[in-house]
Amino acid sequence: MLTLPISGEKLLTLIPQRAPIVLVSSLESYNENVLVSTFLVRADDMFVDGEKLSESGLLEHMAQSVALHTGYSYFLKGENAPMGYIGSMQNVEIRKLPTIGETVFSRIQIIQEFMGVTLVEIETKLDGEFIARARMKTVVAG
Amino acid sequence: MMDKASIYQKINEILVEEFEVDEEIISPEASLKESLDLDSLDYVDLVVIIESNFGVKLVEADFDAVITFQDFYNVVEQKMALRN
Repeated sequence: MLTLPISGEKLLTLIPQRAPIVLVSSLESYNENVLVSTFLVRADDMFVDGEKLSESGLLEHMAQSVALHTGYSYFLKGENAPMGYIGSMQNVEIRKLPTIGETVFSRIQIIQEFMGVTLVEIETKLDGEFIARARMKTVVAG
Repeated sequence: MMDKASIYQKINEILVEEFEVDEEIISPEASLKESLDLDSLDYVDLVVIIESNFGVKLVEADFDAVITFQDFYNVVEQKMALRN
């Protein structure tokens, strides 16, 4: 049994991504419809542009947080984390990008799951301040 | 409580406004899948919109027997009746 929060090597058992494109640092809380993840921006992250995480990096972090929800739900069922991909993004709003050494918190809310497609809303905060949101559809492969 | 005609009309409005379905091709006997040309990403939107407008949650099995628009009206109507 994994005790929350989950980080490090244990976290990697829940997602299909591997270094250098892992953009989640911990799973803080989980239920069937909501998950909170974190990401500590490091200087050697490939999505860092200058001193800041790039917009694409922040969106990838959001997508990996969704993958984490899927992976943890599969773990609870005794199954391995599935591969998946981003089907679409809507209503993307990015107000601020985190810098190296900062940790963002993302809350994902499952809106609907249908035919292998998961519709989620993601909101990201930095030091309690809202910095980004998006609505995504993710698809479990195969 | 909505009557049948109101349910059908509202569904048609949703299909026209949200999924850009040509109003001319909507008829009870027409094929829903061929007319809507939805992919799996669109279906999740349809489920969300139906739930927000009618308060019923469609699941995959609900679409198994849906061929025509009338079939789809019936599914929504039956779900609403069960809820009430």
